[in-house]
Amino acid sequence: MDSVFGKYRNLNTPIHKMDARLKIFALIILMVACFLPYARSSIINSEGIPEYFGYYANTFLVLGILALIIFIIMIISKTSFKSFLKSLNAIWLMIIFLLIFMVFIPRTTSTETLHPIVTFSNGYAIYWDGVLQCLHVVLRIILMLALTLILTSTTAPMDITYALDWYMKPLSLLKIPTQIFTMIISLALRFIPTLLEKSQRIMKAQKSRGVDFNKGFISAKVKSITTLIVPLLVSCFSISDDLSVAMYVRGYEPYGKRTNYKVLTFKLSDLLAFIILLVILGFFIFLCVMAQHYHINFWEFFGIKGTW
Amino acid sequence: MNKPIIEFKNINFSYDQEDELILKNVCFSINEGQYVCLIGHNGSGKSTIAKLLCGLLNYQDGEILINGIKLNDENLEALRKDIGIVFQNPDNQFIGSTVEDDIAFGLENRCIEREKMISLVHDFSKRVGMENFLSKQPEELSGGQKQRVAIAGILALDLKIIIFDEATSMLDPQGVEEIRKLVFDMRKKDPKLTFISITHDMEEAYLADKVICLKDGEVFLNDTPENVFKHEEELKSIGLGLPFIVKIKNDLLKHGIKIDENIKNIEDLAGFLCK
Repeated sequence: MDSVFGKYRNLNTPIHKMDARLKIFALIILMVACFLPYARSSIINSEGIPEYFGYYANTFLVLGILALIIFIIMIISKTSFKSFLKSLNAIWLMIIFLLIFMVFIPRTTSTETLHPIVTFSNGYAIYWDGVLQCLHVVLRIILMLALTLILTSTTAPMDITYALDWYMKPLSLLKIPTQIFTMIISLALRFIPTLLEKSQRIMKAQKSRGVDFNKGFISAKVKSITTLIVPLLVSCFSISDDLSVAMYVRGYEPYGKRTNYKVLTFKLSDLLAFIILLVILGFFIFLCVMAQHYHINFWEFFGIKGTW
Repeated sequence: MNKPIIEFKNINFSYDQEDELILKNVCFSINEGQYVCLIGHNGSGKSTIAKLLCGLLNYQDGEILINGIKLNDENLEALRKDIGIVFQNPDNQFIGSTVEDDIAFGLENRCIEREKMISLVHDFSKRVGMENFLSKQPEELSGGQKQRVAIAGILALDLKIIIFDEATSMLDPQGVEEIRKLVFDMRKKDPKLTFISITHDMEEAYLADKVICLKDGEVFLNDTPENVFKHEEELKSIGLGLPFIVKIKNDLLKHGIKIDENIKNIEDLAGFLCK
């Protein structure tokens, strides 16, 4: 069960001890930082010469800094790199998809500025711009994945739920029953491992009856998957039946008032983390403005000169 | 002590009007502080009785009295606050994400203040021997441990009636033994606690104060375990056996050895035979 993406690991690190609300806030902040535009607004540099690689290098540099920050957080929080690498397996298909789209159809305003790698005889070409743009997107997705992994592996599902509940509080002013959403999310999170175990058991049972989940073309695979999904669905219903009875017996009323056993506390260390986060956000917004507005090449600060 | 806490009077029940009756003219009463076992073959209506008691099902015909008050739609909310059920499947009744969350779930529903809740969770987790597992998740626990958590969650609510709906049927022998010990302690601590166990385990039934045996929705036998297990042939006809110790006693009796009525477990029997 260790391979489950972002499964909570009960460790004792500063990141684990952080307030869940702050962690969700941090996730949003860092994700925003991932997606801010760090490229200069134009490919033509201040001397009037087009700089193709320089144009993309800005973004790579800033994303590199961000990756370093996230890497440090991963080390502090003792997030398992193995599960991170495993989770990358899941986005392979997406990367290939992006590559196909972006390599052949690079996104630029005028075709003159595009830099072909190869030009085919029929006029089609593969452009450097497409490849580099694709790499930007992939890098951003990987960083986002890492962030999510850190959140889910350092925060108990229930704490995430409480934090979400806290964020949804303003909605209760509009008479939206937020506590029901919280309960639904927490139950869903609670039953993921149970259902996974169940699905593995069903899979084994079906394998012993001769269903092969790995072989065959897509149509055969779909057929074998239905032998897994139908029993799983049926057992889902029986679980939910049992669960609702158990909840009823223990006096649960969806719209009734409840007290909370767990209370999230905002500690002094959280305040410190909050300030650090704001500084990080400020820094990245600053970089963004510098690049976009003042056309500054960041790599020049590292003593690298000249046009690429 | 002999005040009846639960009374079923001529209960007829079916899920649908046209359907066959699941409970037919069921009458029995259970006194405060009693340990009662409900036995019967599959589909004999044992679980239906539990569901009727906590208002999960509505009865059409007859009367259910809890503490002398007739159970109806108006007072259901108030009356079911005294009844807790522990179900068969330990996984499907684990609501919280950790042991402490699960024990606290019922308390949260009753709007108990946080400080009191924390002390209750600690007290009751200690009582079921789970105090070192408070932050554990259900996947990390064994079936018996999960079931103990469920029991703690029910006990913490300070109930008058606790029902075990085949609570030990999915556990291994060690788990069953743990739960049995726990029930024993529980009843010793609170002699007013009425305990109903729906079970297939005849060994457990033999330890009860009273055994109610159901057959096709009717109360077939309703007596002390000693008397119920005298009806060997009738029990066999509905697919139920005898507890091991009763079998031994009967066999010994055939050989002319009379065993003391008070002997209820194997150790005592061995001691008696060695004398």
